[in-house]
Amino acid sequence: MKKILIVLIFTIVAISCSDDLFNQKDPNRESSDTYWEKEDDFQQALNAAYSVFRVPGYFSRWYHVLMISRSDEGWSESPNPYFQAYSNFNIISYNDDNAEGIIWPWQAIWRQIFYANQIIDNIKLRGDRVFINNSELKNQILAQAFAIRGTAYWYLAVTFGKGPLLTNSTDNGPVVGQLEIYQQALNDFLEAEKGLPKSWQGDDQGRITLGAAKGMAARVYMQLAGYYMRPNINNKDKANEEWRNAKQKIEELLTLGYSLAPNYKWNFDQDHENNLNPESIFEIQFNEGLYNGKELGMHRPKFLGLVVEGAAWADAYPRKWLLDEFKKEKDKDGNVDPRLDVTLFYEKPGDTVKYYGKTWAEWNQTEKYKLTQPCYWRKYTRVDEPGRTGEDYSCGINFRFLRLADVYLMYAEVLNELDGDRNLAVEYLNKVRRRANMSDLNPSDFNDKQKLFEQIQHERLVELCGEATRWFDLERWGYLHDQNKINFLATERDAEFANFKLGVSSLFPIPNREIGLYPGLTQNEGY
Amino acid sequence: MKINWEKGFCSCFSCHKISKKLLIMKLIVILLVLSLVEVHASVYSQSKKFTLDLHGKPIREVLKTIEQNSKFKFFYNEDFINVDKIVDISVEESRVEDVLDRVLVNTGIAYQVLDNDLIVLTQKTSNQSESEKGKVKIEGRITDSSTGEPVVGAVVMLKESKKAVVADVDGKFVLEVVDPQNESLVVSMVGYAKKEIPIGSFTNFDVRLEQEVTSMEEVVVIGYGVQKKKDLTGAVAVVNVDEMKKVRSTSIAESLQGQAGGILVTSSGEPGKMAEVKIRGISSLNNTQPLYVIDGVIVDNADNINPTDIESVQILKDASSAAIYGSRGMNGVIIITTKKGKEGPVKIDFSGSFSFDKMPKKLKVMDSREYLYYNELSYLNAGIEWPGRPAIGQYIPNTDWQDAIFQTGITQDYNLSLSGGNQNGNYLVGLGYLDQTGVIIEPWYKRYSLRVNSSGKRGIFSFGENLTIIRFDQRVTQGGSFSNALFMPPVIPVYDPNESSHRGGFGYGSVSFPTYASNPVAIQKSVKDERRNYRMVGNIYTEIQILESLKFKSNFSADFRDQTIKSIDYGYTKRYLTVETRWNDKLFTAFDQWLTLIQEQTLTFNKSFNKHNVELLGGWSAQDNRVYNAGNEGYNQQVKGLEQMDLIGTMNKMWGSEQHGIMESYFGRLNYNYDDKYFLQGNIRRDRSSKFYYYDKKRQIGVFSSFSVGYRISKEDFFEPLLKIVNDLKLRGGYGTIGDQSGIGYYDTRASIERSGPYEGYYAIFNGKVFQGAIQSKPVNTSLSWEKKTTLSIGADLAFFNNRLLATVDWYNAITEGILVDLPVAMVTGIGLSPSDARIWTNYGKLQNQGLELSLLWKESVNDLNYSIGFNFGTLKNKVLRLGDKYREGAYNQVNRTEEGRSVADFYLIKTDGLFKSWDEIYSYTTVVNGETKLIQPNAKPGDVKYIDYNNDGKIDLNDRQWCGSPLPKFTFGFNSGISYKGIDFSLFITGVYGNKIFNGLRNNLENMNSPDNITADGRPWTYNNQSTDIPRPVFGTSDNAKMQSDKWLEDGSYLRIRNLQIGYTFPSLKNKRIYEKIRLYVSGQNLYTFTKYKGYDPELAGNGIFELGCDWGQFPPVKSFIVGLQMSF
Repeated sequence: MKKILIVLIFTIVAISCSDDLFNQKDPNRESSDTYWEKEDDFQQALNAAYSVFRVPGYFSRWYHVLMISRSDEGWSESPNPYFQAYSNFNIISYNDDNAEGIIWPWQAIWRQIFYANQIIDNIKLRGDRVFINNSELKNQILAQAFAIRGTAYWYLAVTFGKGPLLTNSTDNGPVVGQLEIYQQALNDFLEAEKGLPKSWQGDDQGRITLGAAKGMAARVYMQLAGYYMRPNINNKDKANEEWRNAKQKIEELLTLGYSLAPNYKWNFDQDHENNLNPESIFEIQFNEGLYNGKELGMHRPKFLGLVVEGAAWADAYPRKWLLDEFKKEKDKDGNVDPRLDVTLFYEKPGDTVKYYGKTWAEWNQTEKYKLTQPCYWRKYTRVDEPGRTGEDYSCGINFRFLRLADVYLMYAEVLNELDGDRNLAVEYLNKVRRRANMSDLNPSDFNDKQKLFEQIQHERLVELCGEATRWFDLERWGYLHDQNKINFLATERDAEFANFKLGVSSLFPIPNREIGLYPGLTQNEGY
Repeated sequence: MKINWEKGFCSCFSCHKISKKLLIMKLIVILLVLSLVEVHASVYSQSKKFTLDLHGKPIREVLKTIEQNSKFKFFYNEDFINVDKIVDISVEESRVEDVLDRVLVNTGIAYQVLDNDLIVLTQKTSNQSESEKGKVKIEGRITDSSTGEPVVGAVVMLKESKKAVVADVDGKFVLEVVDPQNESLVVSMVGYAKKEIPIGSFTNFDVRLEQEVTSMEEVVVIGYGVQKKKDLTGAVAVVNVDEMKKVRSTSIAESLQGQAGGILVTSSGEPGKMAEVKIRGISSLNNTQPLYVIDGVIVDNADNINPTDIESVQILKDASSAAIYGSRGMNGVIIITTKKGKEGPVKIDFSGSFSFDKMPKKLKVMDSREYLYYNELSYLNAGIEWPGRPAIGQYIPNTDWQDAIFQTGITQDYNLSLSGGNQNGNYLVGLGYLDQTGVIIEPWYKRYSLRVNSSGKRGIFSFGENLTIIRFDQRVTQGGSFSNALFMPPVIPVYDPNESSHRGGFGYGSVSFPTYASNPVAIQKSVKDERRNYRMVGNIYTEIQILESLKFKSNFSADFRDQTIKSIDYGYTKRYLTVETRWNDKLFTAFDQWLTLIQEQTLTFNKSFNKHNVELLGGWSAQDNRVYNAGNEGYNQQVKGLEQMDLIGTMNKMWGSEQHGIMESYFGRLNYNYDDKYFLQGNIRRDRSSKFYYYDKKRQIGVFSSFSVGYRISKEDFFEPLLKIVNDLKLRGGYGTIGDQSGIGYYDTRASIERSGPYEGYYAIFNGKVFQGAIQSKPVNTSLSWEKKTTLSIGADLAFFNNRLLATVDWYNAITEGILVDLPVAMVTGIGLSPSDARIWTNYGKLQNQGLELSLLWKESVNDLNYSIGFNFGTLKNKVLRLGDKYREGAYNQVNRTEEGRSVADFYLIKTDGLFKSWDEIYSYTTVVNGETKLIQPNAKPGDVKYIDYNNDGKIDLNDRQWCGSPLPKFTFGFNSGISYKGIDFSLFITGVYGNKIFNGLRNNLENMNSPDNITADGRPWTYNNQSTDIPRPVFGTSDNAKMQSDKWLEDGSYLRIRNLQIGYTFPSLKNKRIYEKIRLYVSGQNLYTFTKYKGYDPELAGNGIFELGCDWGQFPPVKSFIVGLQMSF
């Protein structure tokens, strides 16, 4: 009997679980510790970082809604009180966990930074080993990660204007303000330039290019210049330095071979994307529909389209002064500015175009869907697509985040600000005007800095209206930092600016839930 | 030798002091011992000599003196034998026969000295010489049905002629019967159930007596072993299975309701839906389900296992009792033993029941005539033209939507088992079939079960297996049917061929009668969600009795479940006022498999010396869990009527994954008692789980221990005077810790690369093409470890009045620390896809549960009347000590709130103060804010709800919420009584809860009066002509009346329910023919009536998550059933 006992005890001890069994690997997912060993691992991580551009907090939805409705271009009458609050600057009680317009962009930004940082960290750690024969690819991936991170920081700077500076995926960073965030974005774009090609071919089309990095850098320089020109900072030297940097960057960009698309409409359609549009510098890629259950499209049309019979929500309307601005000047043939009919949907006598199936007049006969606004957004919608009765959440049009016309107008502005060659500045305005069948401006009429500035303002508006650049323009031009200008906006353009609080409303509140969860992160002034 | 016999059993002379039963038990032991030494016994009666000198003593004294001075024991029935006669006796060196001859002379008492020194006294029969003709000699043997040992001293009596004999040391007896055709044998023995057998033409009888165990002597199964109930030191509830089984239940969990204190069961009437069990409150914010151990197989749930198979149920409630299950027993352990075969020829048992099930009640809602009136009024009050105005002569339907979906459900339950065995083994094969259709249209549940239990013995080895294989198929109830049946306006027809969407031909809201509700018939018919499942739970074991005191057991068990879901959504449902995703034939199929394998090796040492009883247990177990799932979803069937993935038009998505976890445990237990008086138990267990981070061994391993002590005061000498009333008193106390790990997933401590991503995936698009992305989506916490629950439990077991009243009292205080809670993390870390997702698991949570439990059982037999009355009661006080979040709310509502310092999921609502009756009231309802007098509800009109401005800020919003009570009952109780007289039995079972609140989400919608949905007809809405009501005036659109988060919808959830009422009749045995052993017919009513103030369908609400307890959103209520049943044994 004792033998049996001994054998039993011995057996039990001998067969007890081996230690290794407790190191169970997840069979569904790779471990982060053992990932990053193949070139493709980095490519896929980069894909994930790109994918964030498509999330609703970013270019799919909120970027448009926020930038348009907050600026003097638009306003909101959405039944969702959150939309209204962002538009009319009464945000304070709409900063909770349901505050999509605040939470979602914030979260998208930080996800993208976390993803980009993982790529940057691991390239530094193992890049030389993994890309042993392909340092060009390594540099390209790294550069794209920098450019993506730069874009996220740039978005952070213009929305929240505050946050921790996280430059790797593991450590906490110091909480900094708008200026430092702009500078971080700038550094990332400059870093990105080192590895990016002028253009991508084949199935790489849509990746960030050298031109995009230079263009974004120029954008940031100009915002920085605007920053130094704010009345409360008013550092002329610093401002000029940034204008010069911007000029330099734009001139580098202009050598890269871009040209304006022959037709203005090419910039907002699905047929002239990426290399098919010589004007495109930085496009956010969307496809219509689902892929393996995931949304690939852009929500913007559903949110900004015409609100008839459930076709779309019209969560931000264009202000009427935009229509007036367009109507100030006829084109060469005496017709309205052709860009107006691309940009806005408005009452036009004799118009026979059907919008989601009916003409303006026909909609107006339907009691329920009377078109009570003077105008609605048409850019980036499919209102006049034959057979279409409404928008869905999925739209496959790429969003042109940066295009050459914008850069031309930026160049004109930079030249004007630096008191440089105003003839050249006017020439660049004319390049944009000519494409829209508008007659040339005479340079001799624009020797005065202020006068040219007024014209640049007009040109940027009619060319870029509804492309969500307006908010940056207002910020750069000081509108958001001068009570008189705010009053002007409130009385002349967008009544919602009556609620705008100087020193507060130019930034969003930090999502309340975040306060106290990250060391040193405090709420923005006034919230 | 014969003794005359009339009733009861014989009593011994020394019975007066000690309870009969105990003495007789002792006697049996003596008989058994003596039977082993029979060789010496025969010699003994010859050799033992007595010298006695007693004068003027009763015979009783003489017999006692003989007993005290020898091994002889007397056995007689005082009803026939007069032992009080005074005698004188004076003998020297005489044999016992000589003494008795002298003492019993002229008493009419005969005696017989049996081989085993037992002396049986009987009455001398005067008519010994009566006719001897027609006599038949019968013989037989009486054995214990479970051990197969002979039952020495069992009394075998002829029912008619009252002749009796006593079984000898081999359990054998011989009798002569005069009229065998009309005669029956009645075999009785203390400690066994009486048995009656018609004689007929049989002459040889093999009688197996079943042990009748008093509940204190009962043996209960504890982890990896058994223990006498009276020796328990932990809090273990032993469920009265006979009573429990009187309630027709489709699941084991459901059948536990009301059966023990401190157990909260909520069940649902949904076919195939399993009840939820919470033992001693809420111990975790994650898993609150107890662990089940079925015949030694550890399983996460006992779902779908046939409750008919149950032989016994024990509930281990505290740390000291459950600690041996360590990491898995934190929420309590329910130990189930299934039926085994018993020694004897094949026994066939059949039971069948047929039941009609109905909804507990119908709620009163308006018919079309009334609805139209108030619908118009609601538009009028809102200043909107009434779209519903009928044209002259227009037909308006009057649909009773509840009638449209309610039906009488039918439940059929049939079980058949064959069992038997001998000394070397036993077997049981059971078959079961359950078929249940719902009390609303469409859902059903069918279960086919097979059980095979068998065991065998050879020498020191014994083997066995317990196995059940179940197939269960189910059509799932679609959510929202109950609520929509109330909300849907009666003016909409069930079927409407003119309906514009032409989906299924159902009636929906329209421009005239818009509604937020959808057609409940369409909801049920729209989705055909059918699930086919197989489950197999079983084990095989070997036991080796190495030494008399040392046993080794090796057990291998498996729990395997396979589920196939095929769900086709025809997209019939439609709402008029809210957006609804419309599917066009969405087909969803999913395949899931769960497999748990456990092996356990235990060594048990068991020894008693002097008065010390020691049991030592040591064991090792390892567990392997695997989960596989795969599925796909697509739209648009290519062929109408054929619904297969192969025929799908558009594939939407596919998925699949697997999980694997390992756990290993070492455990030990010491059980010690001294003289059945002092008890000590200690448990220790070391668990290691692969769920935790491998490189942090300290956290991967959890060590849990507990100890408990018991003290039987009633064994002390000083207690003796009290013994007459209090037969037994034992104090118990225990302290210990148990762990849990079920709150996190198998790989939650691993940082890993995600590929599926959020809503928009991780796909990058380049050149219009899609490229897969992959990234680590969030930081993880690698330092997670076990949840630990520490319980202090104090209790007492008492028995009164000859053990007729048993009482158990327990008090406990349990604190769970390190509860796995996900705490918010700043989104700047890049974590998460939404604020609710930006959280990281930590061991931060802490909960406390406290309670008092009481159970009483009175059991008595008076002649043919047997009755029992049982009562149990449990209180619960729950407190959140650490939560992490400032508060947590339910996923869908702002009704419950969980906050530190309060009970889980307390109601947090705006209080109301009736309705405004006049403009004056509205204008005088003011408060002063910043020195300005402000109207609190400036938009109110007479007939609107008046809310209390709790924070005095002059407006009513969510900041005015106050604490309004708890969804957890203050106490739960069960009352069980049974009476049987001759063949008739009756039982009544009542359960209830007290002191909880329910948020009536249904009434909120029916009475908020701001939607065009249907309206309650319990009362009438406020109008100037009807001011004495609490239903606000109807206004279409947004008004203050709609505030969902108000106490207006909070109701008292206490109830007392007649859970079961049953009357049965057992047919008497047929004379002469042994066709059957037992036939019982019964009728029973279940959930017959519920005394409650709650206005919804039923106050028992299943299916709410921990943070949203007590909310009624139209869950499937328990149903009312009328049952006819039959039980037969052959």
